[in-house]
Amino acid sequence: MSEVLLRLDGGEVLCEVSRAGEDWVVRIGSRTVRFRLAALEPGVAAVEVGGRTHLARWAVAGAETYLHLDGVTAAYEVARNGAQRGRGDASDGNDLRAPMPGSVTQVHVHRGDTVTRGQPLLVVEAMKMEHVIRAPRAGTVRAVHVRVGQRVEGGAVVAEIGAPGGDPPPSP
Amino acid sequence: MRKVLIANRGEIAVRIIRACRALGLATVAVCAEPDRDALYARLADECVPLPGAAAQDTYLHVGRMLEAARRSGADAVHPGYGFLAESPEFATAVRDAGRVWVGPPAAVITRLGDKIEARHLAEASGIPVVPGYDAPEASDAALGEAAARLGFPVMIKAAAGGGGRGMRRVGSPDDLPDALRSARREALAAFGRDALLLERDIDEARHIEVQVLADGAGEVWALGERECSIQRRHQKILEESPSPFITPELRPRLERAAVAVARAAGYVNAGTVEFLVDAERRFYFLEVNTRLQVEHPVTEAVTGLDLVAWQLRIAGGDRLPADGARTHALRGCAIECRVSAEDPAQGFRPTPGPIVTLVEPHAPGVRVDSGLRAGWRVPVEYDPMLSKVIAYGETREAAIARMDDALGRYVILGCRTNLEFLRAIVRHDAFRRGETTTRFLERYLGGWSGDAASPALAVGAVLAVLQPGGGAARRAARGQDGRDTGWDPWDGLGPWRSGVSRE
Repeated sequence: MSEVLLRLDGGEVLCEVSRAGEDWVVRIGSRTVRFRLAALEPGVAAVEVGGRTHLARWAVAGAETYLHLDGVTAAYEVARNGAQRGRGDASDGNDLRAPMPGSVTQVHVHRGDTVTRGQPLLVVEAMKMEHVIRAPRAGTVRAVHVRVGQRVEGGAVVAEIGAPGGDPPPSP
Repeated sequence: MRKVLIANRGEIAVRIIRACRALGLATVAVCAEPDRDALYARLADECVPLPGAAAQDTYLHVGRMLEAARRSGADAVHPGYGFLAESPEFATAVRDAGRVWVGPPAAVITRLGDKIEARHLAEASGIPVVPGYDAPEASDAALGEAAARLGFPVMIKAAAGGGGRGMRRVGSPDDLPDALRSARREALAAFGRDALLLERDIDEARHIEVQVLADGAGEVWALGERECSIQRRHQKILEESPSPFITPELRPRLERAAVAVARAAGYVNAGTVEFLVDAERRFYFLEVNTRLQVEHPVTEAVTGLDLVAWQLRIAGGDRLPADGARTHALRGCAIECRVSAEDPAQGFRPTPGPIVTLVEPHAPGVRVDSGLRAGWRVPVEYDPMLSKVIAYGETREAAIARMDDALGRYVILGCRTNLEFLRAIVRHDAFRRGETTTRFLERYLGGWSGDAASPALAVGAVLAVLQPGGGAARRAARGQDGRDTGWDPWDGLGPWRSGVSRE
């Protein structure tokens, strides 16, 4: 679970973001929104919510991000993003996620490998665009959850990185 | 008539350019400094830049408009709506400069522009007017006595009025002196005349207007009514034709009244006769608008006529076909929503800004009259109206469904708009039932503030999570001087390459 703090006109809104299978689950106050997200092109994604699919479109103007979905345009600034807080559960910040749904076309590392910051680890491809997932910092590969040819959903954890020199956790 | 100067801006300038093009006429736009890159300025065949930004120095400046017409060789002037559209001085100056004025004669504009004279004209034609007091140049004392006779609440209006200026609703005799004073002040500042009249305030009234089209040979058409009751501070937000309130028995009576007023005034070109209709469906003449209206597309949708093309053709001397009354029978229903750069959740404060992303809806029966393009900045200087969405359907329900869908898919990013609020209107049960009175917004949507925990916000939160570093990266991308460097949340997702081919 990650916490994201969005700043709107009317104040700040805390969003708790988690996953349930392929769904994203976002809690905002007492309300829970559950949806699937599939990126289509920069600034556009298909969002399935409540059995209906709509295109979400977003863009940045000045200090704000504008995001349109089904007749509502949210204007917000990201005041705090869970990934950057440096606290939270142990795996936070160590998970490497697929940025959009696609196929894994290359896997360069195995569990236990030592990697340097920026080293290419995996390649995911979708709609003739390929995305290289790189090591966000030096460390040890704790797990690789995918293999070449596998389809992944946007946001799925594809690999985990541990501290440098740290032992990989025991296999389950 | 070969080349038309459009003495206006925004969506209506685009609308007129398109009509001219369809008729084979060349177009000349005028643009003040904030409008140099506006869509209409780029679409016109020529564009004459006007120095300055203030409306008084540009779109309201008769001398500069005439100079633009002379320099460009335009032989006709279309004034659109607002700005100089109802200025008899401008109409006269255009004629005196040997150019065609696309509108009624200046004398007709003058006569109907005076609400007191217009009321007298309607009464003389046997048309009921709102009970009131309309002596020319009435004193405050005379108005006070009249108000006591009429009973409160009472409406104060400026004789030269328009756009709600100089208009006051007064609930009790104690408030009358102050209201008269401030109405006079406002009228004098806006119109250069402080003459006032009184009208009884008709509760639960509907604003119904009849579109007329008249040629120079005495043929006058009435093209059904428009329901314009959904207003905020006397500004229309949503209009439809036909009105869900007007019965098949009442419609021809309204149309005959409108034609009678137009004939009595010697009207030529497109115009609108406004009425109030009370809860018992009694109607009263209000005023005549001597120009094209913002909401003309709903009439176009239900009649199949191109009103702007007819304005140009009538100005060029064409006649309406004599059997016309049979050719424009109303069919179906059309609704228009006015899209504005304003924030309904914050007292409708104006929200000028850049248009970063623009996706306008297209579908059967959906029309968007827009002055927008991506990359343009909505200026702070002018009216906040950006565009209009018009939805047509065989039934009112079908038109509402199409409007709901179109508003939901209209994407304007970078500049806040009232799109979500408009959708709340068309989704409201009371609107669907046809309860479209002038009290609609205060009664049903007063204090509206949108959905603070919307799925849109939830998707925004997920985008922030998917993009490591989120807010910090965002601030870094903005650079040290805070200037935006075009950062997009998607960029943060990683280095994508496009067009990768498989081996």
